[in-house]
Amino acid sequence: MTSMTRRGWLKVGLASWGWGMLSCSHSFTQPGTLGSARVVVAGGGFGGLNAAKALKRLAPELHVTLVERQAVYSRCPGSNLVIAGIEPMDTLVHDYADSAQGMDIEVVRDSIVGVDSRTRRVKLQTGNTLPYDRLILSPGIDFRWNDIEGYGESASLTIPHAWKSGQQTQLLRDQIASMRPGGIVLITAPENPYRCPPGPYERASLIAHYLSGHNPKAKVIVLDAKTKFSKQAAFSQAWRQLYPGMIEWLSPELEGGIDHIDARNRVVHTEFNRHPADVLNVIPPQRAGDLARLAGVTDETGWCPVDPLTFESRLQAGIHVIGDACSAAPMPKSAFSAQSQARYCSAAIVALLSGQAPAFPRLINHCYSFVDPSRAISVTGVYGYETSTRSLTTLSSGETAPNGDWLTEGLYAHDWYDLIMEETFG
Amino acid sequence: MRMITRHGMPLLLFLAWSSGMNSAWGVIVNDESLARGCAGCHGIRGEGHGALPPISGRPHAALEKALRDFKSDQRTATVMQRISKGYSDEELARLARYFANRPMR
Repeated sequence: MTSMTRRGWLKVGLASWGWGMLSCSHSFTQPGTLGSARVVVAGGGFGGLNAAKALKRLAPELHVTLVERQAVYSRCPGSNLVIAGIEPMDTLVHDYADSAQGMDIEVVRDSIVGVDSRTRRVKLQTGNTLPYDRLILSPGIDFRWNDIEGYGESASLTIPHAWKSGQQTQLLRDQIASMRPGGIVLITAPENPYRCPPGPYERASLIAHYLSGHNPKAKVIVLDAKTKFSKQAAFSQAWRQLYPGMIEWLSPELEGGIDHIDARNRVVHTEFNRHPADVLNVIPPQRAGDLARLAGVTDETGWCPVDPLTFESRLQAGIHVIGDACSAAPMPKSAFSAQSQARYCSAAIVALLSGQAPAFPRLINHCYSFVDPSRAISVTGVYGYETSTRSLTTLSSGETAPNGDWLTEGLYAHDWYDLIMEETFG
Repeated sequence: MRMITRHGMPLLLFLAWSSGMNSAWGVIVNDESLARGCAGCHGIRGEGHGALPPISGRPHAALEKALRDFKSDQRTATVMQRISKGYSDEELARLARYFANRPMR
């Protein structure tokens, strides 16, 4: 309020109402007829499932269809605990048959092969089409194969990325468990933005935890494309305290970035050095999932620009993009963000379909990282809507201090995993 | 303010304005929208989960004091000191009222 003039206020208010009117004027549904409105949600991860459920909670009369190509979902949050042998693999896997039961959500197991934003139809591989008034895409990420020379999809069959959960998680787990005594685990971490910014460092921590019990002379090296990283102070403290001498983080200031990867011999060549590894984990550069590209909602960055008031694409009317695929900076790409965005996007869509102005959002992201099985550190942000730029702005943020209460955060982290799994897949 | 009402500001806008007068953050976020973010840790009904405390149906005064004390660092917590600073005092008061009026379970 302090920074805005009275005139500015009025304009904002009117603009937002006008926007709502405008939006519903090219919606296929008349205001107040929610019952005949159709929303298609594509992608059954943390974004998609939470969006479908939130829509039905807010407007039970709405027709909601969830399209997902897989029968089961393997989650990324918690997968570093599996890689470190702390949790079994099957805890990551969830059957869609158990999700969203009794919520009157139509679940279609199919792949989307086309999106016509003009006639508002989604075309499925089986030949069916689904009409929509609003489409929510939550396609997650895909990789920029070969952006790092020598690391394409075929290389990932022996050099895991384990940045999508499933067989890749198991592969990395098996390689670490069978590594020679005193071997080196080398993790390469990508440039921002990417899925789960603190993930590579949680992974290094938990692998070191496993190795300190099973292979105490082994080492973990993180070769980074960034000169600083999420929760760096607390991670660095945890590594000194819990795994002294075991984890080494290498900045591109020392290495000059990755030149290429020799997958056959498991050697990473940087501009200034070469790093042989016994287990090599390459976390590749990323972009929005293929489905986003198909729908024409990605820009030159490979991600999807949205107006975070509604998460509607800036490129295609009627299509909303949530989760890792959207550019909602400064909000990071996380399951927590995806769930939060899903709920705000759903509320905005219900408002638009009812001919009302969407409410301004106040989003939160809060990410826990385990540094050992019972200790966690976190990063938090609260994000408000900036009307002048139609983007999010950070209203407060913070990280766990190096001398923070890691044990209490560890308890919260375990319960948060339970909660998000129950609300998403339960 | 007086000037604008004299010029006939639409009623709805006026209500939105007046309820958000003290917002320090530029735009007025309604109660439902403010509360939506809290669900990420406290659950969609504010019911809590395990060690994550319930917030629905708790006494209004206690909720508001807790939020204000987190914001001013008079009460320590792992996370809430960071989160509460993303809201104006008026917004924290509205959140306290909102959750106090929600059923406990």
